[in-house]
Amino acid sequence: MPLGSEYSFLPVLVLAFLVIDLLIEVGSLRSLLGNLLFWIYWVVYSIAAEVALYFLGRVTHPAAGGAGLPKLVLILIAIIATTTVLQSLTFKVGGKRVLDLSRYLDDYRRAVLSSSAKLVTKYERRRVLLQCRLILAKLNYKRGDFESEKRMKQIYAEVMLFGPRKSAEVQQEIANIEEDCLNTGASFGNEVARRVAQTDPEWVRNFLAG
Amino acid sequence: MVSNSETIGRGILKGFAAQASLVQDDEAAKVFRFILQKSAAPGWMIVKELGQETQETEGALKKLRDLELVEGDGEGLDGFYHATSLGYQLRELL
Repeated sequence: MPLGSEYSFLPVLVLAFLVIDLLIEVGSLRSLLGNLLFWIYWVVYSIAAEVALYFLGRVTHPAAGGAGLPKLVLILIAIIATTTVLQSLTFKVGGKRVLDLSRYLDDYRRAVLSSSAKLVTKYERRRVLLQCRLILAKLNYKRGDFESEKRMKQIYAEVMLFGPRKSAEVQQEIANIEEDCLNTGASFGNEVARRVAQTDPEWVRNFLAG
Repeated sequence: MVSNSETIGRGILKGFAAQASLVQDDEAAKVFRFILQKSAAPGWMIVKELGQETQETEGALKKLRDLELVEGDGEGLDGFYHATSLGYQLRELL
């Protein structure tokens, strides 16, 4: 049986299926598509689906006495069959699991989710760095300048006073940051901007837009 | 040599132990759900969004790290946290 266009089309549909399935949990398309483990998952899934499609095509071919189903229906059945088999295939001998494909697949799926979430962490760090730079640029912050440092303290007090926190606690944190900066030589403005960007990205967006 | 089924069994036991631990700790459970919902979150954002005391969140994050449910790239509230494979496994159990 010659290989038709459905074989090249199938991996695209598998990709769409896996993206929808995993995106619900990860919530970041960039992190998912930037993850090598995801692409390995896709390759394995696609190969399994291609095999399923090949056998389905043979069984349902009119020459073999089959119904000759439309290609799109065949592709959809192949994806569903692959998912069902991969998610439930367990082979037991004498009550012992010799092969538990579903568990391997579940473990791998969770590894894909976890490593994608790790990538989200990386992107979040970049977002914080960028927002931090933009805050300092907008305020024209000058290190050691009294007015600049005063403005940073005001911003810290505004953003970090929330929920059950008390003003004294926030002031103590400002004092701690100042002390740390004196000891380590770090920039006070940078430390404040970083914490603010970590705590409330929405506030920073509004501040930068205003 | 540790067999495959033993490794699987240990993983399941770890998952159940973590589940039992979270059932008894409401604050840690809240933090864990927030991290799962966001995929990844900085410690300070968790404090603000959940309206917790800083010590509460720090304690919860330490507990979740000890249970191997989350991983962080920094210390305390300055770290960014995401769920581990075990964390995602527990999500299915919760």
